[in-house]
Amino acid sequence: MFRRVLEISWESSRVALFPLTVASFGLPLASVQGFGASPEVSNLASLDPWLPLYPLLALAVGFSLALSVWNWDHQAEHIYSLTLPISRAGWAVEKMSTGVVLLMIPFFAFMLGAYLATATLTIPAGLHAYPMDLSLRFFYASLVSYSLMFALAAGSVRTALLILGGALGFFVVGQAIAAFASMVFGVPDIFLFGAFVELLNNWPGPLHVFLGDWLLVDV
Amino acid sequence: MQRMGAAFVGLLLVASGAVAQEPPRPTLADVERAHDALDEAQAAANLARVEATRTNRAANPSETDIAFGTAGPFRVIAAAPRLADAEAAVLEAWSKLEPYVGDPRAAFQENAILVRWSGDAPIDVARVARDFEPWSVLVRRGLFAHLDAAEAVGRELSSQLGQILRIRRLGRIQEEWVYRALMVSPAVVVGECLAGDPSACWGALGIGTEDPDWKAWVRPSEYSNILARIPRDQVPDRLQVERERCITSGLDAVCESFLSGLPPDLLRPLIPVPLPIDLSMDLLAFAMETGGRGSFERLAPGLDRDLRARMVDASQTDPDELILAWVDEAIGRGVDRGPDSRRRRSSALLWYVLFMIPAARGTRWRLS
Repeated sequence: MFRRVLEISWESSRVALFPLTVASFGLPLASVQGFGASPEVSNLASLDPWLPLYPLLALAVGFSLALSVWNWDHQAEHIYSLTLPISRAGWAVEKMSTGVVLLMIPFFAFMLGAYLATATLTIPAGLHAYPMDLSLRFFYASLVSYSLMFALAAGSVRTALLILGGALGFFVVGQAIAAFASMVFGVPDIFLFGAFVELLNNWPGPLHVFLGDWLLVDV
Repeated sequence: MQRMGAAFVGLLLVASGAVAQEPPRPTLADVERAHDALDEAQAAANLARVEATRTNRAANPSETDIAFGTAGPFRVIAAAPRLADAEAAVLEAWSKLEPYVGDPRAAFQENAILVRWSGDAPIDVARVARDFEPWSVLVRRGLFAHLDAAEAVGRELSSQLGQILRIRRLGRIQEEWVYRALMVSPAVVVGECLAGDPSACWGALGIGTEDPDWKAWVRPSEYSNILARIPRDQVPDRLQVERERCITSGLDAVCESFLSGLPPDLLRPLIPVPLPIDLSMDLLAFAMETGGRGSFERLAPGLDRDLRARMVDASQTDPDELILAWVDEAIGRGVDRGPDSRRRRSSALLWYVLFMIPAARGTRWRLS
């Protein structure tokens, strides 16, 4: 069953995966172009402009794959999957697992690019290349974005809207209550959205893997 | 009959006591003795009252009571309820400082250093000890009421480095930060330091020279950024033309000439010392560690000496040898990226599993 689900996922996602795999291969190569060639570009600050692209690419890979593996199901109104001798939960888990296998494609492309990039570099003394570390981080970031979008896409549009609406309502109403409590009872005012973002960003929040320096060459 | 009447009257008078012997008049000595006795009684009463108050305070000390104690070579003065905590904190701190002091009595006792805790908040022993650790005894939170040489050293170091210098060995995470600061600095002089030039290392820390060469602190590509941060109206008239030439041509030589012509007090704040002050603290701590026992005393005296001379004396090594040993040690520390990477991966796996739950419970197949 897993093999069949994998074939279906591959069929539905290969178009989206191809350009992202090329980008995954090219980004490490492009980001260190010229690094170490002169004192002006031998410090890590010269890599800064490329840093935001790494998490963005991981996000794009995960989101695209998650949406594309559900695409056929949504288009066919889930008729095919209903004919299979498998429960809904089993189907979703199998499908989600195939995504992990498919994520290996951009991951290996990224790793290849990272190793090629570092092989061509003259790394200043005291600095080191971390191709495997960065590649694994890219994979895990893709995995988080994939699973998040997979979970959202697994439900109906109505469910997604309910979740988003609920979150928005929570922040608006919650903030109003917090402000009221602060004024009336003198409790410290809390910026709910800020606290929530902090929760997401700090370990073990889901965004933790995306944040920080994405340096192929570091101390 | 008359005689009998007189005798009767006499008897009556004797019986009624109307006729008594006249008491002796008190002498001046008697009065003085009585006065003294009264004074003694009053003093005894006062003494008893004081003793009672003291006993009561000892049992229930108040915030306003001051108590004296000792910790290592220090005299500790603290609010009575906190004396024990203050002593514990100072003792903890002293245990860190002690290995670097040759003769504690000479270094502290004769100077009558008093440690004072006058804060209202309860003493957090760990925090106070950390503030002392291991050489920040020089300056911190007014803990020292009277420091003599030690305080003077603190002031001296502060003035040299522009802010309060806490002579404190950094923790492990900060040690990684020392390594990172050395490695990522874009300053030319830091690169020269890492290549093994000791004078460049001192220069990168801003120590040992009164008139540092700012051109070694920045790269020509940064000139335009520096220029952009100088308000036009603060540039002297004689340099306005050169400023315009620098902006229009962008030539390094022109901009360098313009920046060189600026008054030092205008330029200095725009070009900070390449290596931050924490690294100077780390070097000072390293120098004292190298010097071992007695390094504290060698660091302290002679306020006319600059910081480099102090560190060299404290370490009892050659200046070049000292700075290069410190750089080698900092580089040798390296950075352990493992824990951070593992945390990221574990959180990613956690969220993968967590997101699988709602995905498996979707409502797509529910026929309605």
